[in-house]
Amino acid sequence: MDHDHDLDRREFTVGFLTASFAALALRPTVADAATESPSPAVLDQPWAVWDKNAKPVRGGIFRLTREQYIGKMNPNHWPVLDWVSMGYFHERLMMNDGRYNSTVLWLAEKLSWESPQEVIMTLREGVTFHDGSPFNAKSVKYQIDWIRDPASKTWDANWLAQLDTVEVVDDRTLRWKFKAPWAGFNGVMANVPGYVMSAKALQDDVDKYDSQPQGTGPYVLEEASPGNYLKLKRNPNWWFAKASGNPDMPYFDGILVTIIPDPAVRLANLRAGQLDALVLEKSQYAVAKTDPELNVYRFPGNHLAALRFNNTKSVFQDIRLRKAVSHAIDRQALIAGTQFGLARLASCMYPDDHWCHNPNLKPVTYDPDLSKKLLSEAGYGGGLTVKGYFSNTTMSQTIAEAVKGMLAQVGIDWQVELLAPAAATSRIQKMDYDLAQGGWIFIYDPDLMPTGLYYPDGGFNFGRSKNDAAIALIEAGRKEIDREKRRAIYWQLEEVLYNSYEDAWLWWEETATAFRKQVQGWNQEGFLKYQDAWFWSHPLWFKDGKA
Amino acid sequence: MGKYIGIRLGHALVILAIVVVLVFIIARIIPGDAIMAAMAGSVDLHDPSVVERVRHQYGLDQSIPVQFVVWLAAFLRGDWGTSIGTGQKVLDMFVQRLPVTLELFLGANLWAIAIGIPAGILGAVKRNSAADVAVTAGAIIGVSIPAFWEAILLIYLFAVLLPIFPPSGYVPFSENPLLNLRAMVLPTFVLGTHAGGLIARYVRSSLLEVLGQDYVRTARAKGFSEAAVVARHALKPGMIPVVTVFGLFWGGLLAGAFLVEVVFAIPGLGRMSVDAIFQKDYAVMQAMLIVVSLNVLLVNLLVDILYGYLDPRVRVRG
Amino acid sequence: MTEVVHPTAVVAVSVASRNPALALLRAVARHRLAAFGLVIIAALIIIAIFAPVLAPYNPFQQDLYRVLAPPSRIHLLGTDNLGRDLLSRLIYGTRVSLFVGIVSSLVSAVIGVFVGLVAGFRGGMVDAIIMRITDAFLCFPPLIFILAMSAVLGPGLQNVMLSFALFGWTIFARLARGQVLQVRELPFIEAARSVGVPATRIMFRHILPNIMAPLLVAITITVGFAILLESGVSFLGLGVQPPTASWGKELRIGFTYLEAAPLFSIAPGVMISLAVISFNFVGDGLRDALDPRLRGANRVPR
Repeated sequence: MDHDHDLDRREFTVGFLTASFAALALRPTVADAATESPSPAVLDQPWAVWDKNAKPVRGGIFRLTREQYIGKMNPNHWPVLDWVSMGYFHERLMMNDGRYNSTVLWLAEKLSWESPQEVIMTLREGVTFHDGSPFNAKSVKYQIDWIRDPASKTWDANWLAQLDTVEVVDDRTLRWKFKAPWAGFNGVMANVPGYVMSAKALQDDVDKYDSQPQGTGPYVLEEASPGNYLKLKRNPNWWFAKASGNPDMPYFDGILVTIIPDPAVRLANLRAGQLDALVLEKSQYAVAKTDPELNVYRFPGNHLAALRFNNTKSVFQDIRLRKAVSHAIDRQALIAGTQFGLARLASCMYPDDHWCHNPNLKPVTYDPDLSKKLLSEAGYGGGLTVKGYFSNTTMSQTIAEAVKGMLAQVGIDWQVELLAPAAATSRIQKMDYDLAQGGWIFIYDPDLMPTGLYYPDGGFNFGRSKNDAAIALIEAGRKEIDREKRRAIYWQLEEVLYNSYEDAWLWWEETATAFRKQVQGWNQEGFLKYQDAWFWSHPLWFKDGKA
Repeated sequence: MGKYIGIRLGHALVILAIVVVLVFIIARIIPGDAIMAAMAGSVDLHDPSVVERVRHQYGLDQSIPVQFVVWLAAFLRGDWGTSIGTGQKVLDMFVQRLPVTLELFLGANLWAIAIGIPAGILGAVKRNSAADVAVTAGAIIGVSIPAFWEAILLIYLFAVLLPIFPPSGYVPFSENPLLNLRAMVLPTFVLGTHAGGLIARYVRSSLLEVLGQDYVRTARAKGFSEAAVVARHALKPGMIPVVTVFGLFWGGLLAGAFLVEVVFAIPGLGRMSVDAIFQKDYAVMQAMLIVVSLNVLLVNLLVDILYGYLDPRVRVRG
Repeated sequence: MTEVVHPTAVVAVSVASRNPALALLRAVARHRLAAFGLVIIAALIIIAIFAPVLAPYNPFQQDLYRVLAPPSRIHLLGTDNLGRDLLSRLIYGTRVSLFVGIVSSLVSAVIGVFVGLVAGFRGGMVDAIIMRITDAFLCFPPLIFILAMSAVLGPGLQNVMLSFALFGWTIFARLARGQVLQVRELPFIEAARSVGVPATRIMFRHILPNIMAPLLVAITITVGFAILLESGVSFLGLGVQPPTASWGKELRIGFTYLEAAPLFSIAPGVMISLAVISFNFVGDGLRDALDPRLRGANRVPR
């Protein structure tokens, strides 16, 4: 998803972690084993390892906070501003592993590729939606068809463009047929279209779904006060609890997500004991680390921060000007000053822990003299004025101002406006900008980000980028089933985009999270190794079951 | 008295009409097609037929007087539109958040009275002394300090440095009365200090006027102690004008509530309005402007009538 | 509404004070609070005018390797979130605040006095209509009105000043009208009218000078009020746009970093408070001096 909409990936990670922790401490007792035995299909997976010494306790309401209210709770409708909370009540067919490869089976129990254009998917048994309707092949087919229906006004419909048909074979089995070999299929199943929604709820009242979702996740939405809080309660029928042999999962009785826009107030609340976990502002990391009441963890964030150019309808059609902007930015200084060192300097599109990361590319150098030279070559020696926008959150404002200052040093006056998400969306659609906030959050399957940003009808392109070489490579990458060959294609793609300065890539994210000491179950190693999969399968709990 | 009320009511109705027109101009005419832009996320404004359809749906393709009548009729019916930001019905949002802001107001007024009246009396009785100067200075400082700064300072002092009060948030009274009150102490105090400053000055000045009256001087001449004079003869008539000060600072409290709710993350009408302003959620903004101005109008009307009842001279003067 | 809604505007029935300047000096001498306020205002004006000389750094100069630095010898108040010298930004912020305050107040005064004179002098239906319109505008709490207008017109200083003027005139209109009502029944005015002196001449020659004194008080206090409002609007994000420094804007950013750099939240607030308090002290002192018999607010007759 595009950075423009300022999804807070740190919060995503925390939400991931907390929900998955619910499962962590389950060790089957004899009594439990008598009623439900763990499913080997689940326990086979590499991340399905639980600490034998940990003794999770049920109880307590887990209190979290977000900067922005979730917005729409149907993941296919815009805007969704809180993907962590989304993950509490919605689950996906597949998930991503530690290298952001979409290989983890979740609600899909088995995938078998009949051919590069056909997949047979077997769904898990014994899963029900929160509204009681069964999770089965018919429901998934209805949902996928609904997403693709233009009348549904979904923003991710074209992620399923490769799909020809999806057919119900039997109650548990689906046959997916593609128009051409589709290597990105797993990735899409592990992403937004893969969030399973109750077909019954969609059929009964699709508009209501935006505020009353019916998923399969560990928590059920109890009460939502828009702009204010979300109250979730424990799902006693969470399929994963039974399947993993940990019937006590999730351990919290409920989750309370409060909206607090100000970072200082968020931290004050955490330290006052009003919150249990917090994704820290980077300026708070140093202070929080020294607090004896808190456990603070730092880990890579799967997001790219970048600036986007309007390559087709503005002065930035001229590559010299794009180069001028990109070299005018001192990325190290940005990271030091605005991210307090908590970011990784980006050389290419995919982060350095992603399986498609191209190690041969080097970050764009900071060279203001080169920028000035290029500007005068292009005829703007006397100064260039460009306009654009950035998100209006506190962090984004700082970045925008810093970049503006850097551009001013080489003679570029960037008239940047700070906008709320809806207003920003309008601008992207109308291509009403020269230089704006860009990037991508949740970089998983390698096809999704470049499609969204650089493909003709990509969700966040709207025609601002039309690089034919890149487009050809994107199409090739979708079809290449062989993993090594596929990776090579994406390396090429990164090179092409790099050489054309299609966008100005800045950094890959890092996140710092603080938990109060009461919160148990976090395993930094496990998370770093297995990411997504580990997060959602290892829920947290309170010591003694009390907040 | 009846004629007095009648005139006031008549004025109020005329004012209300002008207010409604003003709100319509501010929230509908001036933004114009910005209303469309605010909906960009949910509809594809690229497509001219979509734009047509949406404009028609919101009545934006009609002439302005027609739009006005349609809007007004809907508003009176209780259809205040739907919020772009949250998707809820605007009226529902108001109803949901009203109790929160009411509690904030109630607390603020209590603080204001508790601080303002004693301070004002002190200033009047000890006129021109150091205490008086302190009261005057304090009152001016009270209304001069930005409410949001005061809020931040208090959060820093009492929630960060000395964790006595929770730094933000709101818990419904029904859920946890103690926590609710604790969380409301700082926000209501901030609002209360402003109103309190105004009350203090009013009490002081009106009490001074009364204390200068003939009958009070007579009482003093008769030998009553100053305290008795104040308590028996000055206090009651002196308090009458204080009633009017509520009309004065009511608007200020409303505005202050906006700032305080934002800083303390309180889910009341103020914060809802600020969010709406940023998201260009015009339906909410319109409703908010009407509610606020109606509120001020009503309070002032009541104060006028009450004052007319308490002080006959005003009735005559008209 | 029988009350003047503006908390401190006053009608001084001051045929007595023919020389406001002398009265001002007397006020200064007698009232220490007002003296204090005057000193501060003078200091602020000097700071605003000589900002480029006084500010140790360029307020836009970023230093990303030294963000949120604590106070030190090279940065007396530390640095902000982009490494800019906080002291310099506050000094330049003085310009913004004073400019907004004074311009908004003066524009409101000009419009308001004109409207009020017309209303008071004409009387009858014109007066009634103007008064009702004034009352309507006064139904909106100033901050809320300005917020709504800024949202509608867009962010930026000009829009804040415009919005302020759009409701600020009401204060002066009532003031002027009240004065006219008091004065127009006086014998020499009656005489002038009966002789045939044109209305405008009467207004400007005879009535206007009489209201100068309370007008001065009102303008002074309105400046303080405008500064307070501008800081509130900037705090909420609508006023000044980056990278311009405004006290209110700095305060909001400082709030984000409350734990990391508390001074960032305290210093701008001190500036705002000092400025507003000073204007209020001076306005208060002026009012006391111009009519010593009346303390506190008067009521404007309808």
